[in-house]
Amino acid sequence: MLSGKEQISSGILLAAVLLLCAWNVVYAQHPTPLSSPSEETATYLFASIGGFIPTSEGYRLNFSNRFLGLPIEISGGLMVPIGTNLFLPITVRYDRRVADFVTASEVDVTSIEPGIRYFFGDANLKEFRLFIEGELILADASMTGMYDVTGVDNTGQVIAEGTARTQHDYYNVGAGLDLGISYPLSATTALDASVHYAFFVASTIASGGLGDIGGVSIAAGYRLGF
Amino acid sequence: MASGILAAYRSLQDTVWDFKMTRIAFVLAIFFLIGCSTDAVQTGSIRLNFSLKSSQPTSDSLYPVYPNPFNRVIGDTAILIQFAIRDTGTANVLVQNAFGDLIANYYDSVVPAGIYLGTWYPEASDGSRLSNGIYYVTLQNGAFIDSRLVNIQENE
Repeated sequence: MLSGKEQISSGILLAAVLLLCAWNVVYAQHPTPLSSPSEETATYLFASIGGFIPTSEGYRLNFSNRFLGLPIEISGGLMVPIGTNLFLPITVRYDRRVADFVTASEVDVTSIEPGIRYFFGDANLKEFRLFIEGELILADASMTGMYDVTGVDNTGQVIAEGTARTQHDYYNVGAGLDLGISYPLSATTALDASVHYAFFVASTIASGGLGDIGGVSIAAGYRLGF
Repeated sequence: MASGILAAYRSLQDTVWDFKMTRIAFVLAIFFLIGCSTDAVQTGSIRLNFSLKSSQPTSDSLYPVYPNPFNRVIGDTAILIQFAIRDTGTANVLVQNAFGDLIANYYDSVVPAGIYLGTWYPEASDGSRLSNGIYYVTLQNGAFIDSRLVNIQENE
């Protein structure tokens, strides 16, 4: 089990390795253009699975990713071409984190991320291609937990009258940056791997919010064009 | 001649690539630093006080806090925290926000067996009222750990 700092270091290292690999691949390969130009003009549906490492220490140490019993986050969306090598993706990302320091508390973060993605170089069948993407992020961190509803009896003693579930939504705004590589499997399908970094500026702790719920996500996904 | 022009073109292309990669690395680094700078900063916690209420507890316990939910609009001003220590030992009471950041605490290395009662005013260390939301009270006594969620519905 890696510590928080080790996880962050691993994420940065992986990002660096990914960058170097993509760079090397771009240099080493002799491009063979796709037989069909549809790689550049198709609209894509995509879905991906990844791991998430928060930058906030409290969020990182006191919560763990749990989705269907696995430490993953999921995302998916639509990507529309707007020019040569340029796409407008809109991503929906979901991350469920369970509190480790108390029982029955969790935070579900759902974000909508409109962005712009640029692919470097030409699309060549079964050859890696580097891409970079920037996003605006609108997020809802929904925190839920169970608590004892309490009152006082006739003698002035505190009594538990039952349990109730509470939910607080913390809305946030942030930005994200992705660096990734794409591997076209056919003219309209591809595998993508990326490092996604996000940070949030609204909902600060000083104003009663959750603070920065961003971090580094390392994800792999599949893209299908039509 | 043609091969020379081609070599120059490739060299220029390499330079452009280098420039792009440098920019990418720079932008990534800036994003990372901005993200780190918006991380939570803990500015200190409030010291809680507890007094002995009874001396015959049968087990270690953190009782439900009162009132819960907390609502200042209907007259709530403070939250009562009550815990029991069966045998003399350490007691560590933590009040944490939704992310586990410490807001208030009580610690004593030698606490005689008994039931203790304390009051927590939901305020930050600068005296400002804490915002509405989810908070946690936790008791640690050796291997015993128990937590209670505090629902602050209205405190502003």
